[in-house]
Amino acid sequence: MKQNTVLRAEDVCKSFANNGGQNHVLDMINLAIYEGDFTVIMGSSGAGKSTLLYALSGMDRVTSGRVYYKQKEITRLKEKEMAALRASEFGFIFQQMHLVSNLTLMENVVVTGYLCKKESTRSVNQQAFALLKQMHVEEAKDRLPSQVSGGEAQRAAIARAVINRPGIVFADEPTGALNRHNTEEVLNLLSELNREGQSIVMVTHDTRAAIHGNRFVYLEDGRVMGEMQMPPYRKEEEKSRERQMEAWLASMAW
Amino acid sequence: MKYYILLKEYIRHGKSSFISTFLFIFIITISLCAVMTVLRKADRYERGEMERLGYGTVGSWVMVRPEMEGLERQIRSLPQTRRVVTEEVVIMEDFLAAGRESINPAQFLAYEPDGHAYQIYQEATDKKVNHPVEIKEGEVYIPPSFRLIYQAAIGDEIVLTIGEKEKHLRIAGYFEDPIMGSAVMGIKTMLLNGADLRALKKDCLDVQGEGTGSLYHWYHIFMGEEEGLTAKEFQQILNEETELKNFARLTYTQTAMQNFMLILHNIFSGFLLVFLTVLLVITLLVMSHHINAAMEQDYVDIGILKAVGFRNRDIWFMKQLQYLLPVFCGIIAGVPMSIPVTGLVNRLIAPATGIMVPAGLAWRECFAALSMILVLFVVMVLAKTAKTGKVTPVLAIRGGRADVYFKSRLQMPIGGKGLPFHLALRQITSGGGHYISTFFVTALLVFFLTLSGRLDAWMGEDGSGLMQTFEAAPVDFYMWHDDAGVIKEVEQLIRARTKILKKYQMGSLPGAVNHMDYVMNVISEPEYYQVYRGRSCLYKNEAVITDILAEELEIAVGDHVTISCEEQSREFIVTGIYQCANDMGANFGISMEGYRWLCGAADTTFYWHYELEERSVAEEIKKDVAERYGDDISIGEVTWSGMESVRFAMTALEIVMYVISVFFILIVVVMTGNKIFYRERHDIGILKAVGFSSGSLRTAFAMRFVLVSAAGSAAGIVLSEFLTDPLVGGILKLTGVGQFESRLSLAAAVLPAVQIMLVFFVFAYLVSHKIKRVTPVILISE
Repeated sequence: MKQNTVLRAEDVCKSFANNGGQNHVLDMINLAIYEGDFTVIMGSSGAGKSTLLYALSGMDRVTSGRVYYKQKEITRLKEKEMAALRASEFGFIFQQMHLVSNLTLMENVVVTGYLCKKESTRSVNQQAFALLKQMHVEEAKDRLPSQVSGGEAQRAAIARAVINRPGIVFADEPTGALNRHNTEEVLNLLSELNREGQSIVMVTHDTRAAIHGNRFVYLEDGRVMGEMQMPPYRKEEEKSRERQMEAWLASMAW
Repeated sequence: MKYYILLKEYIRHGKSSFISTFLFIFIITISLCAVMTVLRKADRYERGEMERLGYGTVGSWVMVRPEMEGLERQIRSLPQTRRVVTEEVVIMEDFLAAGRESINPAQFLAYEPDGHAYQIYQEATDKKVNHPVEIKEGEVYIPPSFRLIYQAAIGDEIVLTIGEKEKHLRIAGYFEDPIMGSAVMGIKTMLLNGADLRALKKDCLDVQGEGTGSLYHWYHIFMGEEEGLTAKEFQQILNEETELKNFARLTYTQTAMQNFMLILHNIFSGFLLVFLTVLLVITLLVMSHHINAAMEQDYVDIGILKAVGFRNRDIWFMKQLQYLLPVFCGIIAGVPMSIPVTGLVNRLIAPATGIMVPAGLAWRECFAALSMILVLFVVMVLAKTAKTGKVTPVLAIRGGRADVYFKSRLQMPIGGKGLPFHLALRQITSGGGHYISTFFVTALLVFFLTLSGRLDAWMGEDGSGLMQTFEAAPVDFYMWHDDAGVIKEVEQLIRARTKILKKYQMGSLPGAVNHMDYVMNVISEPEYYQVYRGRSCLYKNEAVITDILAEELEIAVGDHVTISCEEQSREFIVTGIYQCANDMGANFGISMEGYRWLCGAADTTFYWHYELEERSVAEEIKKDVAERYGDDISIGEVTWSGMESVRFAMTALEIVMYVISVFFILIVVVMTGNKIFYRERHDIGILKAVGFSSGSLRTAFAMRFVLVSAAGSAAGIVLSEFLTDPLVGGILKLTGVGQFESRLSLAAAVLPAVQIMLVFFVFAYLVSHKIKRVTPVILISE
């Protein structure tokens, strides 16, 4: 079955000035993200994974090339239009605990919901609570980010990322700062969301996290070096998926 | 070297706060030096000029008439008198200045550089002529205040009418009159050529007092230094031991004249000093808060410096240098800049104050004031930076930031509607003391601006409120005619236009209380006296006095005093304190019945006074009456020569206060805004990542300042409600206004608050432009 392309990068380049020269972090990237996929972008440190994620999500301007979201070019959108797109169509999960420090977990989620203006205040509040419950942090909903554990904060961040039912969720090393138990919890939640139809693009260098995806893109020196597909994640297939992943990564000279 | 590198880095890092503190201190230094100089130098200059020009301890103007022969001998024969210098002057009751009718009398004297060597100016506010000036026949020199009162300038004419004759004098220049030059003083001096004065005297004598000019002797009475008396006590002896009080039109001590002359300087400087104190408090608050916030941010850096071997003492010293350096620089840059500013201020106020204070600062006073400021800042910085000692490397590196973030907050729910407002409110409530400086700045500025609004309201748009304080009873229009029928006709004319609220007869005569000369008000309806303590003088042996007189003579309600008038004296009881700033508050009031009891059926002219329901028609009525009855009737409306200068002073003060306020708000917003921005950069990145636009975040940022300034404004309005009257009352007492009660409409109270909030919003929105530069990418690098 042919999948719908939800996000597409065409000849995307990103360079930074460096001591009078140019440092090319992304070099002519061409990539499509399909609807319903859990796409994992992998690569070694400095390969340009996070830069690609921010370029795809419009958080950062590309040096050249174009990015299309649902056939609409987003690289030329004005700041206000881009903000509106982020609010309604994109969800974001960061590696660090990036929650607004003076809002409670619940408020961090609802503020994003209010911003989108898709639903009434009451409906947003109900959905936010339901999501926090789904993420198992409903008891911590009235606490500030500084008063909860990293795992709780990250689960609240996932709730915030999906409150507006975005077209795509971007996750930048979402388990990078978590312990093993919390890592498991967060990855299971992301898999659960994906099973419900949520498109996800995740950057990671952790193979145990990566196996939760079904499509894998390998990046090296700012270029796409290879891709691999797997069936959707199932817990009982974890071991075989890990072996398959390691073999693929070895072929990519990981 | 290590100190230099660190200090350079600290200053580079805190560039905006360095510049802001520098500007704060720079402005305060300039303003303070200007005010101290205007206040102290004007005082010294005024006294010096009086000495130089040879004015006596007591000055007295006595009309030349046969009965006063022997008066000078009496004065000379007093053991307390050292010498008496008599100067012949002509006092004209009316004249035309640049085509305008005079509102006060003027004395004319011959200019003799060998006698009173007045300072001559080519311009009203500058360009002193440094050589003896010869006043030619037909020329006249006027005080600079004539520019303000009559808009008279060089080339215009002064026209005097003596009997059938008219004398035209061309204004050739200005001179500084340190005795009557101030615009607030009624009588003014003009300088003539000797021949012109002689001719004028002759003309006045020819018409035998039928004209508007009279010949006077101006006695400069010098007290023997060995006597050890005050000027006031000397004046009292002159009144008791000679007939001076029976003949003198005016008698003032040199001190009283100096006080009259310096009224405007004192009002100006008093208000500005209070305002500067407010600014200084604001600066201390803002800087203290800024140091707190900066110390929190530098927590980790301090820890690292300690970890690499810097001692507490080194870091503390560097921090002190960092915060005190802009203060030093501000003072050092401000002092030389204050010299031209002071000169400019002196030139601007010269037409009103009448004296041109020489250039240069009052160094001693400025140095003392700036030293005090410096000490205040040093103490504050020492106290605030002392906490560097408590930072340990481990404590700082482990969690300095987490410890200082959002210690407390109010649980204000966040709603879907008006999200920027809710976010702004949350930032304020969780921001702790970060907005305290904004709150206090707004409270103090709104307090001061509301105070000036109250003062304006009290003065009235046309100055009527202020002028009423110079009257013993409410009055809008007054007249006199010896025919009662004419009075009735005029009253009908008034009633055709407006209702008469109060009607009474009143006169102001020379009198004395306990042998001290004061203006004596006599009224037919004593219940109209504006008594605010005790009660009015309803019976013949009762009197009311002003607060100023009560303080000067140390008498109170219930005391017995001796009141003298026209060589008669009787004992009166003081029944109340009343409001009348006439003659700087040196006056008292009795009833008409009391006057007759004191002086018998004296032949005195008492004007009919009217308070009108619609005071704006007074001018029209005056014109109508003048047209119908011509010179047969004496009429007038309430006016005062100092009105223009006081309004000028008020307007200038308000402009200065508004400009400085706007500038201070800008600095406060820049300082506070930068700190907040630095702290919240991370949150701004997150909010942008989830879909907030720069515009909405900037609105939320600016809204915080509006919300805090709204709370500060409310505090400022409340403050002004309680503090305005005692504060302004205290300053106005210098002018003889014994009681000040202000009222302010809601709109007038809210207007400065709205203006301040708007300025905060605009500046905060402009300062928040940095938000545009924050992208969610900062979250990657963190």
